[in-house]
Amino acid sequence: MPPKKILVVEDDADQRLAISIRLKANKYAPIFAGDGVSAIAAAQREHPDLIVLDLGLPGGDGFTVLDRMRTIPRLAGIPIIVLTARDPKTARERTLDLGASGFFEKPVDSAEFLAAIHAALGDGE
Amino acid sequence: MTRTGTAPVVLTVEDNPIARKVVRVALEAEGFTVLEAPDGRSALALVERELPDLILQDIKLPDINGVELIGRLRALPGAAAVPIIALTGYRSELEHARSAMAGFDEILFKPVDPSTLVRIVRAHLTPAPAAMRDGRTRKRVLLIDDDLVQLKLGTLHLTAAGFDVETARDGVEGLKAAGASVPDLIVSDVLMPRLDGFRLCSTLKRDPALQHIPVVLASSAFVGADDAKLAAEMGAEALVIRTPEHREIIAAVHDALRAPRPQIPVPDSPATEHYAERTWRQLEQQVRLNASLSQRLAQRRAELAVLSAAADALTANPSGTTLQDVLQQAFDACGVSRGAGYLVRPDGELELRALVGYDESARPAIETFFKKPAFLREALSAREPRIVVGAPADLDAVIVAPLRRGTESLGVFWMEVDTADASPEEWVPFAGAVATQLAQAIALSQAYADAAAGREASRREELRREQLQIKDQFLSHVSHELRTPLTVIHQFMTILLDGLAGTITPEQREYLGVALRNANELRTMIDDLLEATRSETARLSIAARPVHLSEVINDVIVAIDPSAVQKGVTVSADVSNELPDAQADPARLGQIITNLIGNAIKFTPPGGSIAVRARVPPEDHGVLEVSVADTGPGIKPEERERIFEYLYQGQNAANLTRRGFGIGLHLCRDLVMRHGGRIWVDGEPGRGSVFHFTLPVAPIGEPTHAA
Repeated sequence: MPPKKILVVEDDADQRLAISIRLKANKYAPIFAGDGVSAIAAAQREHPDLIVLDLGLPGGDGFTVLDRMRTIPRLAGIPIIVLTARDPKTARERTLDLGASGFFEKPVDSAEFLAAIHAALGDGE
Repeated sequence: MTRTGTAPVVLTVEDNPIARKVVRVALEAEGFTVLEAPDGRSALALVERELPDLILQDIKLPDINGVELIGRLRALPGAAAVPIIALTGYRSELEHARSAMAGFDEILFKPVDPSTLVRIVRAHLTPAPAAMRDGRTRKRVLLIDDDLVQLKLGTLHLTAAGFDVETARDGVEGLKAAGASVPDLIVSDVLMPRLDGFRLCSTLKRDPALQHIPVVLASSAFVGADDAKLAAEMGAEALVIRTPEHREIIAAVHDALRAPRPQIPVPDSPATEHYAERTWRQLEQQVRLNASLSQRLAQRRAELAVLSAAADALTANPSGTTLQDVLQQAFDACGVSRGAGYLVRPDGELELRALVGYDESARPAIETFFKKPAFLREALSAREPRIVVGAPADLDAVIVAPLRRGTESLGVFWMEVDTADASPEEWVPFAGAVATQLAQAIALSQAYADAAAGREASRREELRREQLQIKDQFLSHVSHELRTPLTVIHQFMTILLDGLAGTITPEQREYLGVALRNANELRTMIDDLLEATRSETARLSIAARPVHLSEVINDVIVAIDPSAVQKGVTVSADVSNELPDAQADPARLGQIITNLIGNAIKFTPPGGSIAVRARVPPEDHGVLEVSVADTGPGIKPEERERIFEYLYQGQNAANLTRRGFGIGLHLCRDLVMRHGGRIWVDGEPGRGSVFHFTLPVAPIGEPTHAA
């Protein structure tokens, strides 16, 4: 079975690398997007199994991306896990309302983060 | 001083700068050239230098009495023919009469409306028609009145109406004068001692040499039909009411001269009984009328003057209205020359705020009311104005009046009153009226000042909020920016620790552990900073509900234990399950306990221990007390208050603490206080510190939630 594809939408290269190392160590195939527009393009092109979305993106906030993903039928079923460095109190509720599968405040505890990904993809540990 | 063209020059002699300005503006607007003199001496100097076309003169001047001044002015070369108009506040009718005798061409009462003033000044500058100046065409009128005031007033009005006036002080004197000069007409008062108007009339009408002279009787009291009938029986042409303008008298005089009544036989005296009763009634009416009229008039003038002065001053400068301006206007309008006003300072002492009729050198004496400050203090607590008996210095008689607004004493003022023509008692209601108006003016000006201060305070508060918001935004931004690289540091250290980049040696693992622990500490500090800024602006919301303390404490210990283990510090809890629930926000409570235990770990050397306890203190069963004890260096007693301050750094941070307390403890105190509890620290220096905080016990009966 080929590794499951995970689209990581993150504008910070260092963080992309860190997440990539974690995901590869867990036998996932990460692909990347650095902003909202290329994120939606990549999602339509690659049709990933899961999306990790940073809310603090340049040129449009993560909420907009999240909303777009949910309104495109081909993408609507893809689980999305949201990461944020900003004001988690209001963001959490809004994110989950928009249909995200998980919400993590940075810095993320990697064990919890991976557990959430496993759960969303139905992968037993 | 230059004369511009043919513009008439008017000199205004007036000590009140506001009144002076009003006159100047009014006249200059009409093309007059206006010279000003603030007192008698400068007026004399001016007139000596340059003869004006007309002089407007205040009766009350600081240096020279108005009546004296006109005499001295008239004596100057060329000045005898210059019209001099007196401007006077209401003093008394006697004052008026004195002024009339002094030779003023006209007497105006203040406040004079500017257009009237201009009209009158113009009239005096235009030469009178020749006929009016021709004495031979004038009718001679004998005016008989025992009241000096009425005599002078009558003279004034009849002269103004074009008659030559001769006067007599009572009926007997009047008969003599009539016999000597045989006037064209006699105007007589009714109520006079020795010989009243009715008897005078009947006597005249029975004298063949004088019976042709028409007699007009005048009365200040109400004239009834019976009175008029009696006058007619006595042979009088008319019995008329005497109004201040003498309009009715002058009309009756004209009528009588134009068409005299046919002569009738006259009884030698009125029917005695009937007559006595009528005379008494007239007398009573007159006394009543005079008293109430003069009081009403005085009060009305003062009220008007004070109100208009207050309104003017307030409009011009709402917060800077001075008692001086208002008091000066009031006194000026009512002819009071000297007095002072004092306001109550915040410390309760009276402060001299207005000085009228004195120069600055008198200030120290006036401040203490000529070393008798008790007068002022007594007046302040009084409800009504009172007469000061045995007035000090050279004062004639003094009335001291409190300035009150409701039950609040604002201050006090006193004024010197002239007792020559009115008893001090007559001035009391007048002083009361002035006091009422003054108090209102002061209250109004204070209200303006308060409103201005209020606006200023709210502006400052707004600015403070704005600054606070900017500060918080800045801190919030900075801490977010700090978080991002910290996240990366954290991620890569855990990647290394987890062996994702290859196997690491135990030594490498230990060092990475130290780095990670410090990175976590840094993150906690940044989180605290964020939280503290939020707490300052948005004020952290507390959603209190019954909470099991043991659960929250155990959760915190489980979460925090890894960093304690890493440092070699043990954390233990002794919290009974039997304790009542605390009324608290579980998330906030967790924050408080996390902060306290985190601090304790930070300051406790490896091998040390931290003990968390909770109890209901014996002295207060309404609260729960949580304490966190460590075996660190402890906190000096003098620092135990200050460590809860925002961004407080220990005085001796180098050896007492490794790092500053920052904001963690400040945040704890903020949260504890908003739960209604308190927080403090004790312990023995060198043997560790114990942090305590209290929370209210949850009300019984509310459902308990798991934390």
